[in-house]
Amino acid sequence: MSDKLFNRILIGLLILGIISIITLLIITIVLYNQTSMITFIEKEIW
Amino acid sequence: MNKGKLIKQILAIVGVVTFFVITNVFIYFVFTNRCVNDFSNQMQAKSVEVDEYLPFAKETKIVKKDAPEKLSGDLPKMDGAAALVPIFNSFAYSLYPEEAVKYENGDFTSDSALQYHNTRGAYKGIVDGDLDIIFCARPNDEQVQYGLDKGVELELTPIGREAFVFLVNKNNPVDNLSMQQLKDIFTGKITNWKDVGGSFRPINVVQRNKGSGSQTSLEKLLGGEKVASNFFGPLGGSIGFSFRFYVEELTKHGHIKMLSLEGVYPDREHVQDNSYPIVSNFFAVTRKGETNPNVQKVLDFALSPTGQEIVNETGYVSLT
Repeated sequence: MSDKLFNRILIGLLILGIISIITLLIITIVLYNQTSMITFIEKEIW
Repeated sequence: MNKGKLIKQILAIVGVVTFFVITNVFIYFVFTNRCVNDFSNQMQAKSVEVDEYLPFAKETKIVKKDAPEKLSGDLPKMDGAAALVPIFNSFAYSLYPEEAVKYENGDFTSDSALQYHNTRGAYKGIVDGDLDIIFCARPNDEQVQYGLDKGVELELTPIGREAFVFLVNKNNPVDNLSMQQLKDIFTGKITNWKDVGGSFRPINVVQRNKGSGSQTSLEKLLGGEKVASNFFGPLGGSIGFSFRFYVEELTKHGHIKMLSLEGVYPDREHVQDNSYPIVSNFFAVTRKGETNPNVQKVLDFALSPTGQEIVNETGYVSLT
């Protein structure tokens, strides 16, 4: 694999990864504003 | 092509992918999954679905008691908090003729004598003159001020009592808090469960919408001090609040528990004998100087032995 290709793949993966995290966080915030307090506490991991 | 270099490049790619997958899985299980509303049977049983409490439906969960006579003439429009729907819908059954309650396509029609807009909508509605009697917890300062700005003074008639309870996950080792510890937690002076006898874990203070009945009760309890959120709280163990009736069934079958305060557990018995530290009234709220005689008749019924039986049999605690 050439350095150029490797760099492109790596940058592409980084961008995709960051987009996936931001999307998940946005979904989480939207859901948080709709969820009940009790559900949020019930599903807490201990 | 250098084979060693190729392996390093592949490892770097696999490493990046693995990092993002692990990060996303962590976010999903620690945060996202907890925000998805639970539609389990226990949750469904306790969340107030208005169409399950319609006063004149064939299948309804309300307590049915007959009043000495049905009201006629100008029927007051009733509304109130979600948690009190079972009570005021039961009052409507006792006092109103069936044709006065109109429910179509999942909502009450605008000319129905029974309405449902929850606490915030109910307080706005009674001040604006759209409603005549609402059943709620005490109003917050903004709701009182909204009335005063419009020249409306609200009159609060206690019709029952309930414990204001604090909730944590069932696996949280803490079972009891003192009143001072409770206030310190919500005002940010205590930020870790280890400081109140629990495990080393940040405390996550969960709040409700401003203007909701339980949020107002919390603000009153703190006596003007602001609720402080802990930055690391979302990674820790949560504490929330509600009224006993609303969560009692869930504490038996779900994954939450109510905390004792000063060593007293908030069961029905301890609300009745006033030994639980935070027992508050809930009210029938009317406009001061109300001229519709039927409003007083609704209040009289709510305070009558039959009205108080409805309060008790619904699961709340009557005044006497």
